[in-house]
Amino acid sequence: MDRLKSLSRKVAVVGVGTSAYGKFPDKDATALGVDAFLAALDDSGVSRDQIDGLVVHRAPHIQRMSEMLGLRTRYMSHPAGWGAQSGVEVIQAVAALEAGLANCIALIYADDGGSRNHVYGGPSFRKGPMQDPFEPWGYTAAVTRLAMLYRRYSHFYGTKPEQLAEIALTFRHHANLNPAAIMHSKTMTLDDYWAAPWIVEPLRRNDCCLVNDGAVCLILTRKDRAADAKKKPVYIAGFGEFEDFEEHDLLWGPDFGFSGTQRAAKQAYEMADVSHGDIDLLCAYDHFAPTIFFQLEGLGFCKQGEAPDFIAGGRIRVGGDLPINPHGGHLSESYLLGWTHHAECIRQLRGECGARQVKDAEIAQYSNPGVPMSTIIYSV
Amino acid sequence: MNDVNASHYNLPPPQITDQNRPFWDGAKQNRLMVLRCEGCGRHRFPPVPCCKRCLSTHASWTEVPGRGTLWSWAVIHRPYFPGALVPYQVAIVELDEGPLLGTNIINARDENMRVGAPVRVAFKQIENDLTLPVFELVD
Ligand SMILES: [Zn+2]
Repeated sequence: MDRLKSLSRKVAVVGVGTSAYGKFPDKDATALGVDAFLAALDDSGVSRDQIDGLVVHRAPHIQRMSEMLGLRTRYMSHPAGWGAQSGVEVIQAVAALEAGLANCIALIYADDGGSRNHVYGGPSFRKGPMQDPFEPWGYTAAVTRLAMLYRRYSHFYGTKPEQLAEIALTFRHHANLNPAAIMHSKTMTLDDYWAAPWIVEPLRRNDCCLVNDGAVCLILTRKDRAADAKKKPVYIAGFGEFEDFEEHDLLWGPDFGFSGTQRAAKQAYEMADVSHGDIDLLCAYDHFAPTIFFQLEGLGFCKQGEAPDFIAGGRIRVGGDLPINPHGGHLSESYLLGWTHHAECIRQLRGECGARQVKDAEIAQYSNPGVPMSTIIYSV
Repeated sequence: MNDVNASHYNLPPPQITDQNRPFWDGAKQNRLMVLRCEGCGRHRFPPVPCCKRCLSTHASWTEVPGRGTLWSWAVIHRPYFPGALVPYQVAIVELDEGPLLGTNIINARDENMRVGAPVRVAFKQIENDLTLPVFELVD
């Protein structure tokens, strides 16, 4: 822990940039990545020539992106398209910066899956890690795995459909406060929620994330260089990453990722020297609504099976005790594999969020369920 | 909801390889086959190269009685496979020997579907050379 603690608050996010979110058939992922990079550069006050590290996630060609941006890099990473990768990349960037592998790293996520009509199931998903062997019975799609897990969860803990609905309704309400959100102008009532079709029962359409184009860029540098930033630096105070594969067989483990999440969170809180009460907001990966229950319990905000009650009464809405995904999350703002959640943590801690601003926010937490589970604590 | 008997929802046929052929050959003879580790006896399916418990790469196909419990199920409403007859039900059963199998539960009334319900294997001949192991609820 001493080695980890020595990394706490040593690296700052000094720039955040996002492209527009939606469907832009005239732009490919790389072009969207350029939009986000330029926005982040402008936001940071860092000059292009200071950037000597580049991470490109999802967009197909890191060399093309580097060429277009004219970068001279000594740290490059082009991770595969896992959903959970954003936390891992931020963690690795902290370690790389502290080890001196680079002085300033731009992390870019860009995808044009909305325009390409990317479908997370069926033949196009055949190369996925989970789906192949049970296709002959019709088993496919990430949503099916989550639907199965939620079925089990609600069996064990007696969760009611309206308790699950509260997640989608909350995030839609937040999106209505966020002009950049794809669902900004579309309100949703509980009746609207019931009226939307099943995708994979027991999950309805609004329990599932959007599929859209867009890009996010974060610029990270060491504390000694962050003083020159245009805006208030936001520090990475703690992080954790863990996955328990011992009990994995094609589906998440029998405990909804609880033990892995718990271990990652314990490390992050200890490293950052904060506890649950210090967290002003949580940005939790929500490709499907039930993951919010699983993460709240694994992170330790409540006990196993208590999350559906925990979120009741507006507790996770802006203005509540623990606002979750004030930007609207993947369900209602934009689905960019967790990267938008990091951007929201930074913007909230800078106080830039207008109608959805969490008052006096000083500590924000990012988390994603597997694989691997990771969590990051940001602090001003 | 569409019935598993109806040309099996128009799903694509299994991709049979050297790795999984004993499973499908067994099904044609109404036998449920999984891999059994020669190092520690752990059962596994789908066929993967090594045992996660002891890391042995030696395993043999073995017939199991096909008893277990319903782990979970879901109803797919979106036709992820072109032409698939939706909605249809998919399930995961946990065999008494340990492996989780993707499958369908046949002849079940909705009100009897419950996580943990005992199940047993049954065999549905889909075409001349394709039999699918499925499961039914045990009273
Ligand atoms: Zn073994």
